This record gives sequence, structure tokens and C-alpha cells, in this order.
Amino acid sequence: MIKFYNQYILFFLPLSLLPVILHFLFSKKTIKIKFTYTSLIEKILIQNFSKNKIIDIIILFLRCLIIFLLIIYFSRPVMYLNPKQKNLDLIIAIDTSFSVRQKVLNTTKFEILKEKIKNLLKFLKNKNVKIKLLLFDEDIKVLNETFDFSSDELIEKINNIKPSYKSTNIKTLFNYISSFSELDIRRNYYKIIIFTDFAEHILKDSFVSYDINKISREILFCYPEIVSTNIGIESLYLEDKNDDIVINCLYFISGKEIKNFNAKLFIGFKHIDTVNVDIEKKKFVFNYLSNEKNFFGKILLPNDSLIEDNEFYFLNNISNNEEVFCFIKEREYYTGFKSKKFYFEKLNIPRISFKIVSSEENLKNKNLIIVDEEKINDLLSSFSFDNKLVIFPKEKIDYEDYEEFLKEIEIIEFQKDNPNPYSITLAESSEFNEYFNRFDYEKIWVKNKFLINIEKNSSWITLLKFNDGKPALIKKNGIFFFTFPIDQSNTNLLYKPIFLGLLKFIFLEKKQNLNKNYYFISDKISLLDDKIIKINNFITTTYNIEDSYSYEDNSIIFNIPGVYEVFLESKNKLYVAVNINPEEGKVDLIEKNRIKDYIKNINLSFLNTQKTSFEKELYNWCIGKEYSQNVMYFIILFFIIETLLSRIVYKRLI
Amino acid sequence: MNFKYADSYILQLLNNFIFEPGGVVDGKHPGKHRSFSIGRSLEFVQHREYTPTDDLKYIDWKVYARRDRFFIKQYYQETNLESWIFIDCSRSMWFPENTKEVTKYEYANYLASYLSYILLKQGDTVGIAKFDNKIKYLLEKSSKEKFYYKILQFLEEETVGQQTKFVNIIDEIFKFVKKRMFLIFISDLIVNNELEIVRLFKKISSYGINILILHIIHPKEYDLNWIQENKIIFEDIEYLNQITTEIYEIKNLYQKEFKKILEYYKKELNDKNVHYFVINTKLPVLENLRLIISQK
Repeated sequence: MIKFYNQYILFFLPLSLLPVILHFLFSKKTIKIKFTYTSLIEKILIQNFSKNKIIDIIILFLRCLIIFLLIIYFSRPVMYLNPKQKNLDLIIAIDTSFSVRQKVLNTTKFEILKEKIKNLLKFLKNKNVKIKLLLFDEDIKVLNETFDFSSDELIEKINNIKPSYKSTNIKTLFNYISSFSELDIRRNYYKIIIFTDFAEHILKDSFVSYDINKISREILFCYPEIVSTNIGIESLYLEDKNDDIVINCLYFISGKEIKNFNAKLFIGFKHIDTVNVDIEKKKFVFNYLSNEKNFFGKILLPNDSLIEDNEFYFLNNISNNEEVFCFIKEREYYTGFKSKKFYFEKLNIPRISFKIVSSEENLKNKNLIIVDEEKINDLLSSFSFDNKLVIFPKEKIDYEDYEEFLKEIEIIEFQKDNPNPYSITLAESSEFNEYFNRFDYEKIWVKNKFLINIEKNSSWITLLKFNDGKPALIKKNGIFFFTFPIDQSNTNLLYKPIFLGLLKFIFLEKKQNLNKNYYFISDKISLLDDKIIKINNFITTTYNIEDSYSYEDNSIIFNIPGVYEVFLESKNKLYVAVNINPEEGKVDLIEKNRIKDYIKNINLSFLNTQKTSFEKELYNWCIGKEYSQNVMYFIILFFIIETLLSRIVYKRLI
Repeated sequence: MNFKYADSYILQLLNNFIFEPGGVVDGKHPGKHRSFSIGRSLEFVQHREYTPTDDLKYIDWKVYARRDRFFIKQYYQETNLESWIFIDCSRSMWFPENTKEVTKYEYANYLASYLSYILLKQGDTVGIAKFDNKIKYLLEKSSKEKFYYKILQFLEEETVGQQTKFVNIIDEIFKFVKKRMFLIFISDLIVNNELEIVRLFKKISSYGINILILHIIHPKEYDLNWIQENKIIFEDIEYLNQITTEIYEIKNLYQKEFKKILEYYKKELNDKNVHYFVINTKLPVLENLRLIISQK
């Protein structure tokens, strides 16, 4: 039985007679000429009628046929499989990530998807279609282990599922299906329907190189095309300026445009400040003046379609001042402005205290070291990689002398045609990039960040480059190497903010995750060798605390947003602020063509659940086989024949 | 008196033209053409032994002096040419219709006029007739120079005929045409069967009649490029039937076929007593006449 996805296009079928109509329309325009040798003309016509006329008729017929097939192609014919003859295995994957909670009038995207799936299951009852139901966010949950025929039991299972707070990772889904199909070789043909809202991290770099060919199935994406506004905190960082704590918030707005809005700062449960956020700027700032250095807080944003209490939790943990040892060898009579020591002493970085040392002995097993010395190899032998070593080459050093260090550096391409002399390109370390982005330096123009994969972990990573492409700052394990010396007047250190920025980055780089201001759901928080005794949630008690977290590989993973107090076996207490991944709030619909670029060599289809003909098209897709492609082959074939025949006629006429 | 088909300037030029039919003729009056019979003239044929009935004045005395026997000196008799000009006046000869261009019929009349002028001028007898499916109008032959005015009057009478039927007119021609006469046919030779025409002309020539066929064609007839439109209904002037076709489809084939027909006529109608000429109305009449006379 043939059905059509776009049945209304069939109304255009009479158009296939267009060539015939045009033929007769133009044939009417004739003129009469009185002539003598008509008998000769008649003779010619009789002799050539059969050949020429047949070709003309064939061309006319082919033109009609091409138009006819084009209309059929656009109406997308579907041949239903005979259920008695063939089994069909259908995998239905349902997105249960946080983003599907988005409200749509009185319901949510998830409820819409659920309803559509239930209707599909009802339709597939008594059809010879076996179904496997999967739920996916960052993990995969299988609702029925074996492929089952559609039943009330499956529909009941759908009724009971709820969306999680987790992010979406479609790669996990494909990995699962891929491994599953490899195991079950007998079943060589599946159809996969993915019910999702497309707010996944599908365009993230991790997905680019994904080998989707392993699955090689037909995939249908069903998505509710509903665009609404979401506001969220992209990232937050705190700066400790003596008694003042500056809370910098980078935010995003997704979906429809909105006007300026208010953001509120709460410390503990107390409202501290409100700022009016100018949507022209990408960040807003709170200043919190307090003696209290250890606290938890939240930023309250206007409610959006996704979250009722649009809150972002964070912590401020004060750690002890770090000691940085600056090993600077210079003549003792160098003092004041001529001395490097002078400048290092003047460096003012919060929670960092600089100590100038002149003996190598003092450097052993120290945590942070700045070295201005050419005898690097000697130092490296006593250097532990848990420490940090910052190296400045000797003054006026020849760049080529450091080949030993540089040969393993992965060079990234630099845009040469950029005329801005202050421009720099950020390199591989995403953490570094993120950190660097926070500095508002004048005259320094930061280009778009980009990442390249470093295959060898041991190789040097370029953190910063000069305009000419040479690396400025490279990193390997705990060693940071500036490829340029502190210049003669030593002004690099104080007056070029890039130096300060880089040094800040190096010193404040987190040795452990434990001091992070906030985490996202599903982030792994390493406990090292410690163990959990008890966990409290400060914010909400509506969820069972046991469901809020999971524990694996000596790490704790939180599933519900909030601020948690973790009691450890070592009698230490750990405070953790957990938020929903901001990517989940970015509900802008991803362009289908871009998905096609990422998932190649596979028959991808897309269906908007809000479309009136959604269910009909979905059912057609499930138990039918579309023949548009085959029709297109015929169109191409007929077109070639038509062209060849037309050429013959053209030659005859000329 | 002004006549349509006589231009005084051309007539003056034609005074220098001599038309030789080629071969022997059989006229009633002495003329410029070689006769089949032997008589008095300048052209010597042979010597024959004297017989008692022969006229003594023909004895060649010089031969008698050498041989001591009587021989008669024989000469070709020179006679005038008895010719008939047949003009096709069928409907097809009126092509192209309703234009300022000279029609084939008019062109044929010009040819007939000037040919008869040349013939009369050299003392030949000329008769003229118009035909379609039968001989319609006939002007009995004469060798008087004043007869030319009659011919011009005859030609000026516009006559639109019917379809050409050569079979009928050949039968009629045999009633008044004799052996070794000279017939000039001016026609477009539009018939359904080319073989039939060739057969008929060969039949006439087999009776010892000299024939000159002047096949008149108009440039628009052999080159269809003048037709700009594609879809054409060709209406036959003579047979009145209609054919609808696309010009681009037939244009090239038509030209080839037309050439083939001309080649066929040229091959089949150039015989001992038959001469065939294609007269293109694109050329001036005088030019065509020169061609005919020089090639004869």
C-alpha cells in the first residue's frame, strides 16, 4: 500500500500535463503560406514521420513523466511493509535531560513528547513491530531489555518516567546503540526514533569525530519546535580584593530576545544586592563587603520557561595564602628600579605572598617557584611535578637556545593577516582560555577561542602565542615556561597586565577540584582517599538525599541542584554548590543541516511534533519505506534520456 | 505602343543573338538552319555519279577534267526553323502570389517574348501556346517579323489556368507538330510524378522533335529560409491541399530533395533531341537567355 507524507502535493499532479498543454498552445500559433511544392513537403513528411514524430512524442512523454515524478518525489511516497511478512525492530530513545522540563503553556516539552510516544505505541499495537525503549540524558536507562511488541505495559512505563536534572549527551546514546547492535548480529536492521528537544550538546567538539557509521541505521529525530526565552549563568568567579569580594557573573540569554532584567544576590538566605542587567553587556558584577570569607550564596535570575526558581549557587572558600618562591640571581648591588627583586616584591596578587630566595637549596619541595635562571636542567632534577615552576629565561637570551624545550610544542596556526599588534591567540588549554577571558585588558584583543586536541599528554602545551606565531607561554606538567626574558627595565612584570594575568592564572590554578566555587550536575568531584559519612542539602529537602548523589571511582556525582555539606571520614567537611549545566538552558533549536553535517552517511529524518501531520508522518516512517530516493534516480535517468533525445532533435533542426 | 513583355533596350541587344536549335530541322522556307534534305546552299556534302535525270548545272566540271567521268556536286539545303513555344499557365506558375515580385508566369512570358523575337528575327517560324491540363490558347505560327506584336498581345492576356497535366497536352501536341520541329516548353514542371514527365518528353523526342525545356523555379521555392515562423500551414496554390508542419523539421530535407529532383531532370532530360535548363527567376531574363544560347 502506498501512502504519501505530503499528500497535498499530489494536487499538483495535473501539472504533469503542462508539456502537452504548452505543446498544443504553441502549435496553435501557425501561419498559412501559399506554396507550390507541397507534394515534395508531403513526401518528406511521410518519409520522416515515423522517426521524428516518435522521438518528439517520446520527448513530450518524458517531460510529462519528469514533472509527474518530481511531484511524486516531493509528496514523498511511502510503501507500507506487509506486517505479516516482515518484522521491524524499533528503538525509541527518549530525552529525559533537564531541558525537556521547559514549560509550554500548561504542559512541558517532556509531557508533549510522552504523549506522542504513547500514541505511537498505541498505533503499533497488533502491528508486527518490536520495540525497545531507552531513556537518555548523560546516561542510558533501558526500559525493556528485550525487544517487545507494543503493549499496555510499555505505555505504563512511559507514564512513569520523569525528566532528570542532568545534561544531554547524545553520544552516549549512539555508543549504546552501536555496541548493542554489534552484540546482536542477527538483527541487522533497526529504525531509531529519538524524541528530543535538541537542547543537547550535539555541536560540542566531542561529537565532531564520532564514528556514527557503526550504527548505520535510519534515524528519525522528533522534536517540539517551541522557542522560548531562557536566562542562565554561564560561569561565575569570585575575586578577593582585601575586604571586598567581587562576584563576576557571565550570563546567557537563549531563545527570544528580552529586555534588561534584574539579578539578585543572596548570601546564605539573605538578600544582599540587586543589579539591573544591561543585556548589551555579557556580564554583571556584585560587590560584597564582608569580613565573612567562607559563605555560600546564590544569584537569583528572573523565572524562565525552564526553571521556576532560576537560581545559581556558589561558594566562597578561603584558602591560606600561597607562598611563591622567586629564585632570582642578580648582583646584590642591584637595588631599586634596576632590581628584579624589587618588582617581584611589588607584585600584588591576592592570597599570594612572594619570597625572594637566592639559594637553590631553599627551593626543594616548595610549592610555587619562579625562576630567572639559565641552569634549568639542574633545577628540574630536584623538581617535583606536584609543584609549580615558573621559568623566565635569562635576559637577552637567544630564542633558539631553547630548542630542547620547544621541539615538542604543538604549534597552532596563527592568523597572520591580523593588523592588530596587540592581538594574541589563545591556545589549547580550555581552562586557561576561560580564565584569561575574564580580564578586561585595554588594547589587548582576544580572538575567538579555539581548541586543538593534544594527543600526547606529556608534550608542551602552548598557552599563549606572539603575533609571529612563536609561543609566548608554554606548559608541561607543572612547569610554566615564558619564552621571553624579563626585559632590562623589568617593566614587563608590573606594567604589562598580561604578565599579571598570566601569573595569576599560574598561581591560582586549582591543584584540586575541591576548592571550586561551583559544580554542575554530573561533574565528578574527587574525594581522593576520603570517604563520605553524611550529606546535607542546605537549599531543599524535597528530594530524598539518597537520590541527590551517586558515588563512583572515589568521586561523588550530584544529580540535583543545591548546596551540599559533605561530611568526610577524615573529619573534614566539604561544601559543594551544584547547578544545572547552562548548556541545558540554551534551548535554541539546532539547525538540522548542522546535525546532518555531524552525522554523515546515515539516513536522517526530522519531524516537528507540533506539525499537524506529525503522527501520520511518524507512523509512515515507522512501518513504511520511503521511495523518494528511488524516484529521484528515475528522474535523473529520464532527464538524461530527455537531454540526449532533445540533442538529436536540435541537431536535426539546425 | 508599349508592351509589358518587351523592353526596347533588351530587344536591341537581342538583335545580335543567334539561336541554333542544334541538329537538323525541316522548314518550309529557306533559312539559316541546316536541313535534312540536300539542295542548294553553301555547305558541301558529297559527290555522286551523274544519272541521266540530274540537272546538268550541278555537274562538277573540275572532277570531269581529272577523271573523265561526270560527277554531281551535292550540298545541304538550308531551311528555316519551325518552332513552338509552350507556356505553362497553371496556378503554380503564379507563385509568389500577392507580392511585388515577378511571378514565374510573368518570367515565362518574358522568356517566350524574347525567344520568339530572336527566332522571328532570324527568319524562323514561331507558334505560341499556353497550357495547363490542355492547350488553352494557341497562336498559329508565322515567320513574319510583324507577328511579334501579335505574340506580345497574346502574352499579355493574363490567364490563370488549372492543374498541369502533361499527358493531355502531349496528345494534343502530336496533332499539329511534325517531325524535326523545335518545341520550347516553359514550365515549373510541378507534377506528382517526375518519371511521367521524363517519359513523355522522351516519347516526343523519339519522333525526331527537338525539345528545349526551360524549368522555371523561384528562389523562394528551393530555399525555405525566408519563412521566419516555425509552425506553418502550406497551402498548395495549384492543388489547394494543406499541409501543417514545423519549418525547422523539413527545411534541410526539403532543400536536399529539391536538389535531387533538379539533378534527376538534368540527367534524364539532356538527350540528343532534348535539352533541359533550370531557369532561376532570381537572374535577369537576359542573363538566362545568354546561358541558354551559349550552352546550346
